[in-house]
Amino acid sequence: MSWTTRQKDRFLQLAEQGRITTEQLRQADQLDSLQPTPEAWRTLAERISAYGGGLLLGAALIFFFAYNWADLHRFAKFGLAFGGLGSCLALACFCQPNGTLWRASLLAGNLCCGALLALIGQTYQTGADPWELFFAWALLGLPLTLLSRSTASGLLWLLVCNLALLLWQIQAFEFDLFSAESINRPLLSIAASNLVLLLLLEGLGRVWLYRPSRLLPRAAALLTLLPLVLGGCLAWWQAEASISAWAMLATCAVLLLYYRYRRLDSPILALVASTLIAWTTSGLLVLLDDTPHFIALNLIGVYLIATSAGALVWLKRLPATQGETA
Amino acid sequence: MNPSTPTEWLAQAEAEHVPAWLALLQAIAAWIASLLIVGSFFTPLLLLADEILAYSLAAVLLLGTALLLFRLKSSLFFGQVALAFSLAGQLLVQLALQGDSFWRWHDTASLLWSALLAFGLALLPSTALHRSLCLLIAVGLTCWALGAEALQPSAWLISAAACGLWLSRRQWATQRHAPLLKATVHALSVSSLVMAGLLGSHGPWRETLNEWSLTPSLPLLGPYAHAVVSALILLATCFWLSRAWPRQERLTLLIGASLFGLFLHPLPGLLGCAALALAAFQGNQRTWSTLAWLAALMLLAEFYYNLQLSLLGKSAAMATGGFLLLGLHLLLRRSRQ
Repeated sequence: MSWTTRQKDRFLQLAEQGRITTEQLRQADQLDSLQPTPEAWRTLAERISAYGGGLLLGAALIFFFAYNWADLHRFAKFGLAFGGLGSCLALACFCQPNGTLWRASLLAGNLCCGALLALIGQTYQTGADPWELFFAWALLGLPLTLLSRSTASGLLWLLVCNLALLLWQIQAFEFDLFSAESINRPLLSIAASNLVLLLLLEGLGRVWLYRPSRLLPRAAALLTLLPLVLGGCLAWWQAEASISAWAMLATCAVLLLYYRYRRLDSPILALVASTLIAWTTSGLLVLLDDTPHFIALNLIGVYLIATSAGALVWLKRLPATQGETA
Repeated sequence: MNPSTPTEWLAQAEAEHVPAWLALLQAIAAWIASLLIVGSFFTPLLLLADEILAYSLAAVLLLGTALLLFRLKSSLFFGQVALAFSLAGQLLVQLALQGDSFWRWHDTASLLWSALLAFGLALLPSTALHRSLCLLIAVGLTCWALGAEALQPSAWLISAAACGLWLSRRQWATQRHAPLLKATVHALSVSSLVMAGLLGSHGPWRETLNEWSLTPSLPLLGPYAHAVVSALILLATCFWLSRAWPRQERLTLLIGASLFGLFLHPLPGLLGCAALALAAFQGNQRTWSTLAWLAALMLLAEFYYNLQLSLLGKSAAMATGGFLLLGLHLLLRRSRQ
């Protein structure tokens, strides 16, 4: 029997908490050493020396070019950026598809795309707005993301898309965080886009991702609920934002039903519960506006404690049913 | 524990484990609730009583409630509420000690009294997070009170103690004071990484500190003292770790570590982070090991702004370090074959 690093850490934690005795810890130690094995050290040493060496050489190269940057011709600068992108793509072509190196090189290629676009914008002063840069990056990065089939590339693409959308909304429409009229459209459009992505990920994610993980759908769910809860809370003060509140409630209901009964996902359910707690707490703030502050603050505090404790109890009971519904 | 085999202990511990995301959500809710409740009591108290008296009364009330809540040990949520109360209470004690000089942050006596209070609270039974934060406060305030002159020796002591505790985790895990030692090693690890950032290179942090006049004339015990001690800590860690290794491999590692320290002396913070990462790995703490490597990465980015060395000099130092590591990699691969 051999313990993983996490299991060894857990044994030591149990001993530190006094939940297992010295004798019991020795018993676990006898089955497999609770210290890292020579093999684990060798693997770590190989990784550190390879990645650390590569990183230091890469940084040395960047510092060298930074030292000479002002003297470089613009074509030389483009050559460097294209060289970086080309090297990443060439590396991807020569390594095993779907391997770690393949995914890492495509992710680096995606990042190089962004750097190249920024360099073009800076050199030629194209007059393009920042959202156009991010939109172009999202568009150029899409094939690389689809090819890489990795969660990291997916997360980068999701982030770039959201930034492009947010910057576009801020640039194109008058954006005021405390005005319901101007905030409805950006919040709803960002939430709707992320909801569509969430649906796509739930439908095709398992086929598309090389190593299926729940990180991407959870990130999409967070980015869907975050703008909605902002609009929903604002609706308590400004009636014009009520559409955001209705959209929030409808989305929460759909997510609650889907992730409770179709595909059990506790973190997304926790997000839904937190959204509803935040929204109802804001409502309570408005309701208790005329109540003396001492009573109002304590009531809201107690309400938060009660709802959070309730949500915790509910969520902690969920994993027991995971096997039946997942 | 009732189960009889190690596998069953693990299974039971896993079943009781609260996932990090749930703990985070609970912590956010608990902190907001605590702020609301503390605020509701604190505002009228300030209106009714003299400022220092009000601070002292509120501090006693908050610390007392926090200790009571810690004794109940009811849930993660109330643990966070108690933590918020305790931190608010400690802040009020500091404000009461400073008296009329609200912004007098250099008052050594009040800083040391607050550090002592934080240390005392860490000794009492409470959650691991509370103990770690109290010790972190105690370490931070003590360093602040000792002043800029003692910052470098403090950093060396902290770094060496953090490495030593992680390296000997297996030995102290079953001791009676293990929970306190665990909290200490967490606090020292955070302090060690912060110190590595502050003193690790001569970058913008140092300039910002000087601008704020927090450490008016951050003195150095010689330009290379920090680099030499950081390299020695790394070397000592490697020496301890490789004590059971074959002689030739051990010699290769120690020579490699010495050369690494020599070539990367402009980046002493990186050496400290590397020592902590290796020690944490030996203590089976992957999280701290990863955090230390990430801190090293951030220091590398900060190194860009180092004002003591030209970009060409930095490039040369890093290239030499990089070639050294790649050489070490080839040696390791060859010895494996």
